[in-house]
Amino acid sequence: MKVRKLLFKQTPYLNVLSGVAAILFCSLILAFIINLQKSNIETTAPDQFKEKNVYQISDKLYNGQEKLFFSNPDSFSILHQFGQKLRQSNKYDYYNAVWQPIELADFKIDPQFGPYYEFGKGLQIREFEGKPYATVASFQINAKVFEYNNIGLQEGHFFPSDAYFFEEDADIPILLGAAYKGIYQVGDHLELLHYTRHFNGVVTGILKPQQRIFTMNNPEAVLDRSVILPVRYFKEPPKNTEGIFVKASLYSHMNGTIITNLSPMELRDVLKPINVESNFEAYHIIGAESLPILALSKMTDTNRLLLFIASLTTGFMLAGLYLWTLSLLVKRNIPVYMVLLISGATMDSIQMLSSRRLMLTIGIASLFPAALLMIIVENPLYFLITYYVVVVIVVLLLAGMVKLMTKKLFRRLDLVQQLKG
Amino acid sequence: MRLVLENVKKEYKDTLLFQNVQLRVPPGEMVALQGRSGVGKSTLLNLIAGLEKPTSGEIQVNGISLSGKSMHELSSIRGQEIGYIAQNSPMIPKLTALENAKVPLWLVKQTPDEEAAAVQRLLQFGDLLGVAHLFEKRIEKLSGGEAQRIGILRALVRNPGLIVADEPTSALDDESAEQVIASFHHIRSQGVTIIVATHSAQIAAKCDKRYRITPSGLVSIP
Repeated sequence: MKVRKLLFKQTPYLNVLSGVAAILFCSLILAFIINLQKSNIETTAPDQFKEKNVYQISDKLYNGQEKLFFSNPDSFSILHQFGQKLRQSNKYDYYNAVWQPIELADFKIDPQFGPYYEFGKGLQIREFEGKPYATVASFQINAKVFEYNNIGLQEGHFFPSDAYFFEEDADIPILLGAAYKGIYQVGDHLELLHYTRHFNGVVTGILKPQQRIFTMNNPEAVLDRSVILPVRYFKEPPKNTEGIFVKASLYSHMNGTIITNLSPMELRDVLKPINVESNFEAYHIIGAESLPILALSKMTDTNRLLLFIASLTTGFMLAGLYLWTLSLLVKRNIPVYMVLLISGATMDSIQMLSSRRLMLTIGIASLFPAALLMIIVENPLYFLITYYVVVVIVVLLLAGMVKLMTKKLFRRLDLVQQLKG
Repeated sequence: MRLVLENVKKEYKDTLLFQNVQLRVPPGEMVALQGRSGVGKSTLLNLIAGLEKPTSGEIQVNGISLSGKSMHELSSIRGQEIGYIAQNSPMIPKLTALENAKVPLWLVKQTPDEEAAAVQRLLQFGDLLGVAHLFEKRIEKLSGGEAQRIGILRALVRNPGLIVADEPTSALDDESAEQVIASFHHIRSQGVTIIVATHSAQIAAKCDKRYRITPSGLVSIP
């Protein structure tokens, strides 16, 4: 201990420099781990769509066709059946992510939550049964959306499995984008209008910031300022006498996205029996634009590669700086080593002092980024464990290099010959 | 015998430095090794101190054979049995003279009694060498001669039975050299054996025996 203190006292500035280099090195390791994990999350979602074909099902009920179709008293039932069979097929994944604003009661918060905020429009407020309702951005999504996108919660829980079915008087579970944190909390009851129909909802969770999902209009729709509701399918065929809510819901249920390995012709063959059985032919299969998804996937891959190269380069530079300060330290401490040698120390033990110094410096230096991690990251255990595993591996590698370097250095210095004067 | 050398041979990079070196030194004797520069005086002292290993032959210090010992074991023997004084005693900057002299004590665990005895020894020899008043001074403030005497003090701190001194007075003025020689006599009187490599006729004259190193062994100088 006295000898270590002695060595520290000899070269305080170099020790501080090597300490700073070690802290920077450890910080880089930590930053790399965090960024790699984040980029992995970001890449996983586009990767799910890689090599797959994405198709949009779209109805053809326009230009008078709608009126004609709905003149049939079974039209709601037909749409319901078609939608139900579409999502029940096991030949592909049926993905429903509908962007449809809803209205929230007594909502008096800033306009950023409005569906057209990006276009400079404020919150639209209207009275409904004596209460003010504000139109806010919202997505209605089915369970496949969670499977295809890595959506994380900061608190609460996701939708229960029975949330995807319509129950007349049941509360709708609601997930809120991260920007809602502090405005509402898990367990809050909200009144809302969905396609003008009144529902009660309960907040079950709040998403992490910057959560994104793929939609047909936007391959990376950010959910921060959105209210997320489950798409609620009808268990029984609804009657034609139901209002706009049911009609709009039926439309949204069948205008979903199909994600599959099937070619357009194969998909057409798969869908043929569905439209025959449900007696509904007024639909298109539109080959979705896969370019944005692929571009996104490539972009995230490139980002990851850049991150890797930048980290590796900086890492090598910092490791080089650290080894350089260590070699300076050895050279500056020659008189100390000579005194230790004639006082009964071995060359091996003197070399070991350098290796142990490396362990000690990096060990202490690693605590600084770890402390910062504990402060700024919620649930840091995963990062902490990964960080220390990487630090230990790097230290072992560096220790091997230091051992070789000091051995070579001491052989060149030849302290015993220097003692001869 | 405090020191025994039997048929010691040393080659350095395939060149023979010396061979057939025979020496027997009893406790309390002071022996001078002389010879021209580069003949191997320092190397022979390094062999005795366990800093280097002989090519062949046997060295015993205080009855302990150095043959076949690892460098770690040799270091341990050096720490316990041998005090080494280099030509220009290396010193550790930023420490006081006393701290420099105490460095060998930091390499071993000591009981408070042992440490107190060591400090007492330092004070006693410090007086003798005329450096006790310099103990609290930073080593950089000392002259070459003063620093060399602190080096001698450091060699004595663990109470070794054998002192190996390589040209201990080459950097000193006459007065300082006299003080060093006087201190060697005092050390010797306490049963410590001293082997000193020197060009100085002044030191050699004060030694009990004198030898010249040649490639074929030690030659006694009358």
